[in-house]
Amino acid sequence: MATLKAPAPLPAAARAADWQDRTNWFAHLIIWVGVLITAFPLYLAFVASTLAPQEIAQVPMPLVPGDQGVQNYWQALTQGGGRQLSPPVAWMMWNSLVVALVITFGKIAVSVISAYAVVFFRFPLRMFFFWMIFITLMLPVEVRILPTYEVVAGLGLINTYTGLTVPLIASATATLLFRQFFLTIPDEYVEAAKIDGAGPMRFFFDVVLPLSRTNIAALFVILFIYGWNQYLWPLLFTTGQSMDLIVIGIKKMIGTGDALTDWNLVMATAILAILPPALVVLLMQRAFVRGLVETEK
Amino acid sequence: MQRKVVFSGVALPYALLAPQLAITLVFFFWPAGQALFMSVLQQDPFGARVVFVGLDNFRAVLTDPDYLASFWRTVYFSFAVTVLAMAPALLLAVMADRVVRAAYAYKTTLIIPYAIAPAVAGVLWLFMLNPAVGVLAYLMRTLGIPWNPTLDGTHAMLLVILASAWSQIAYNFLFFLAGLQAIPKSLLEAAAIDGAGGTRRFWTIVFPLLAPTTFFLLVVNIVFAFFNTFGVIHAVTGGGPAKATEILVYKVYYDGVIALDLGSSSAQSVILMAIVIVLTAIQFKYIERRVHY
Amino acid sequence: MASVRLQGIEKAFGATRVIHGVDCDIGDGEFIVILGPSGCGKSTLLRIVAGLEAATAGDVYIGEQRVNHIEPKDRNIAMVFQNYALYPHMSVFDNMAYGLKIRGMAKSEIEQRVHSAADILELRPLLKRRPRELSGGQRQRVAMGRAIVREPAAFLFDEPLSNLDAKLRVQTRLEIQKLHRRLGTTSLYVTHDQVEAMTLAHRMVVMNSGRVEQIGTPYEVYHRPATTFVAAFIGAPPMNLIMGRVSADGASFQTDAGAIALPQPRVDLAGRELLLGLRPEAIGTGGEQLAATVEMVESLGADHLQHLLFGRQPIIVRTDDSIRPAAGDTLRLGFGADAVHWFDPQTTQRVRG
Repeated sequence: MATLKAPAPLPAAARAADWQDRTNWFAHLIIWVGVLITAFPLYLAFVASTLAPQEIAQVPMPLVPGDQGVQNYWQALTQGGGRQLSPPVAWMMWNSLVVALVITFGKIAVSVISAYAVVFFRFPLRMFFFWMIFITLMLPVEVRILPTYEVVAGLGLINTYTGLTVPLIASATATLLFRQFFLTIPDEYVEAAKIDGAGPMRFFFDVVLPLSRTNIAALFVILFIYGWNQYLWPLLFTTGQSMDLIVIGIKKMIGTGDALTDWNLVMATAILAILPPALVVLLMQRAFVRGLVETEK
Repeated sequence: MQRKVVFSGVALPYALLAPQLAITLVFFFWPAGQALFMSVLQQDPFGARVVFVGLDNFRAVLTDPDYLASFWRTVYFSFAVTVLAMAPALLLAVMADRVVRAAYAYKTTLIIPYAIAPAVAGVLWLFMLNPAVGVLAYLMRTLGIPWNPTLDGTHAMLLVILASAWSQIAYNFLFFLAGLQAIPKSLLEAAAIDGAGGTRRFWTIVFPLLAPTTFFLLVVNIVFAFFNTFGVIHAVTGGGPAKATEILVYKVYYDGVIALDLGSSSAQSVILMAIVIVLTAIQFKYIERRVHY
Repeated sequence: MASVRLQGIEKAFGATRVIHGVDCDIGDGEFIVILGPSGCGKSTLLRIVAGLEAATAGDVYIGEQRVNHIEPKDRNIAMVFQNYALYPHMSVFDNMAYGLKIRGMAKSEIEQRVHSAADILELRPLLKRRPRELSGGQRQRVAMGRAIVREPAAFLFDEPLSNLDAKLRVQTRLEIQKLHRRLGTTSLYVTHDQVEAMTLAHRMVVMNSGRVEQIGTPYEVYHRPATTFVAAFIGAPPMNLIMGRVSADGASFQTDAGAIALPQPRVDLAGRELLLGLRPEAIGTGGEQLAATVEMVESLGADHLQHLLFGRQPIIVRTDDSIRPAAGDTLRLGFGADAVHWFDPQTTQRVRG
């Protein structure tokens, strides 16, 4: 019997200890640079929000937090942007919250039942209606901004929360996501439910909705951020300050030309504008990341 | 696509579809139709009548040097934002994929900008690069660069590009990371056994397998740069100085709302609609194929 | 509890006919197994009885009622699915109670029924668990529990054991038998596994390509198969089918490989071209009726399967483990008159006698 030679040792790239280990310090470095670039503007904003205006005007501003934080936030929340005309930030945050929540729940509610109808029934024009909804993905609100204003004005909804939010519930992202998920629900559940005696609505509430929990959680994050960060439509739509949103109000606090800006207040407002959506992302991170990647498939 | 097992009945599904259809019809199709309609009309100088002018508005817009300048400016802007938002995101994703421990903490921080409105991101960068009080502006001056985005159009453009790209990196990072984690480790191990080093493994295996994700993100980023950056422009530069940062979506707003030229603004809207439709159509067509990759 | 009657059931999906005229009378309390290979239409037939599919033609009666257009929930049947179909977000208790809850049953009665079903199936300690925390066998028992609590007129089983491993399958099979002995509910059971069919059925419906090949008790199906399909499908290893012609005097069977002496002369079949069917266990060694060459011997422990060649025709014979020939040896074989089955090669039907 011929003897076998011992096999040649594994090439360096495959040796277990070497496997991608050598580049780990490099990877850490790059990630730290990334984290730095991401965090620096935020850190700076935070620091600026705790300084007095003179300290900021003194260029370069200090890089450690000051002691004016409480005053700055209090002033921004209750009085708005100091020298510039803007409503109290607390009020704007309230508006933003209302808009974000209405859009979030509105979209989820409207979309989940549409997706259910399209997936679990067969009826004339089914695909036609589906494509109608699908097309809304193709045209963001920015492209139909003026006519939408005309329509809303025509309905007498100017300066109402309804007019501010309902036009933004018109798009199809959530419907598509739900549809995709509903298509994966095993046939056996439907059949067992039929034999158990559950009608379509019963099945929807007892089985489909509970199974959709993760999707709903992910959508909540995506839609809340979408709603909170809406800019163009609210800008156009609201007149007067009572309905200002925080992401728009912040711009009003920035002076142009010779008028000076209270950067400490602007930065405090920026931090306040970022906190709620950031919190939502942080608290629901896992579901959100999974859902986000699934939405676009 | 249709399920095999469905419920019977026709009235119920119509009722379930009704809310979304109603909203879509009233707030989407009707205004979109209006935009198309208004784009072929012209208000006469005294605002008393509207006249059907066929494609005149389009002709005027497409031959307007300001519009063409804005068009190319937008192309340039999108290109810059897309590259600056995708390349670092890819790099970060590749690195994050390698570092298994503490990846969670890194990921959390890197995702935060997703929660920030582009307009607010613009304000943050405006603050850093403000010629009077900005920390980075100060840095520039000590390096001898006469930084002034309020006067210099190129500086202003750079400012909005940076702010826009910065706010979009998180989204790209998430998708790249997901795409990387979907690549079976066994493929890379097989390549390593075959003798391929790290760089070669990346370019010959990882990158091609990421192609669908990359293409998808490309389209998403372009659409983002075309539309979602309105807030950045409006909050940071207002299209200036001297229109240096006036991109197409801002121009639609300015011409329609400030300059009150509805016909031109509508025509511009329609042109933008066409661009988005083409982009999204390409994206969905490609995604169909991607599923079978 | 009720009888079930199928009359002239036909089913087509578009242009494809999958069931061609099935007639079957199932008595009250009978355990009927519908047996056949994949794609023969047995699951479709079951689903037609359940109301999950509509027959293209024909009638279904449950009890004395014609149920063709009645919804599944109103047919008073319960089904056990191959994939269990347990609602993943509900506890075992809630899964079993769901159908009763929908029918508006009082909570106390629901509890009583679920508990008694759980006792029968030994599910009591699992009532609060979710399906994902259970093993395959436990899930199947929960699926059965869900069917039991409904106290229906008939149970419908759709290949319930296919997803279980071999050992569990045997165990669960016995449990189903015990259950039927205890409850006596009319049952329709679909499977492709003939062992399940033979052990569980009062009567079997053997199906092939949408047609019923034979309806009979396991004994009848085994000892008097009505067609070559049934003959080959039932019994492992399958019945040997040898092509040939009965001699003019009816005393022997002429094949390509030679003549086989028949234990009893059959003058009534003289001159006919037929298939001779012989079960492996019905052929013995030491006889003088035919001789075949040994290709291979498979040992099953107590039995041996002799794989032989009779000319070019493969034949399998089951013997005890004392017969241990070498490859190439010749075995002399014999069989009795009651081991002989005759089939018409054209019609595949059994020939009388």
